[in-house]
Amino acid sequence: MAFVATHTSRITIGDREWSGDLTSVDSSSNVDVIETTTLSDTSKNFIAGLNSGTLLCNGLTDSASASSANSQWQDLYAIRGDSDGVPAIVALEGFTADKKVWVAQVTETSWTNTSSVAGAVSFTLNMETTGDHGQGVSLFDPGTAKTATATGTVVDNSASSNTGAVANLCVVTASGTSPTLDVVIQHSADNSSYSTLVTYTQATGTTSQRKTVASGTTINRYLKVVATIGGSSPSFNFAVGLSRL
Amino acid sequence: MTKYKILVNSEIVDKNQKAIKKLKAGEIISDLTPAQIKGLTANEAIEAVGAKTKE
Repeated sequence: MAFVATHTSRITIGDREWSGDLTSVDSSSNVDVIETTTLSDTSKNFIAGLNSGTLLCNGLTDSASASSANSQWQDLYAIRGDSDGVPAIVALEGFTADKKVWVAQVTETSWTNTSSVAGAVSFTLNMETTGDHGQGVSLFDPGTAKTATATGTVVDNSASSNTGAVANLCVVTASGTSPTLDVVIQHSADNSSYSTLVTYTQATGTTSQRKTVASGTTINRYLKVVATIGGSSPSFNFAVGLSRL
Repeated sequence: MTKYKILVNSEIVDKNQKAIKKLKAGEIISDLTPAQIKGLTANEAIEAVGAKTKE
């Protein structure tokens, strides 16, 4: 058994990596239960209903100006102002490839600012998932800047699946002159013949995207990310997480 | 020799994950090994073209 210290936890919401802003994070997945007990039953019966999830973030308020690019305020405002929700990847054990991550599209449900004696100004952001979400694996670690075309570590999920998937890309830093980043997720049954499973729209700056794989599509056991980087002196930090549904 | 149409961009990699053959969607090729055919079929990435059909 190996326990995990919380200093390894990382979280991307939208186009920001938030672990330097947050003091705690809680992600949860819930399933409604629908009672189907009838008069002739001697015990209650239930069937599974709809899935849902929540994401609760407590953080410290950064004094950087709202007009500063990629400031905490700007990134918070982007989350709060997006009615369709934003992609989130919660990596409590870090983003090293194959580590467990929670992959979701989240939308704000409440916001609180707090200031108390002998404490730092802080905020609480509550979010609800929209659409499918779930526990999956990290496919690419945003911890190291990539300046040239790169291939991620192969992740072996042991078996194929065909019940769909959600896959989030969060590009948290971007620099250079006209930088471009084309990310695809490839899959393979034999770790030799790889084919494109998911193709993200080309990124030219910080951004986030969510892609879904339809139920019925085969997703083979081996997964990896291939990132093609272009431009003059480009540099990107980005995370990719995929959850089989 | 059976020809195959590449349905999605694919690649054959060596043990170091270096691409040794890149296959573009729409391309028609005939020089796949049985193992590559098996792997790409599992990926739903190829289909045989010009195959004989029973009358």
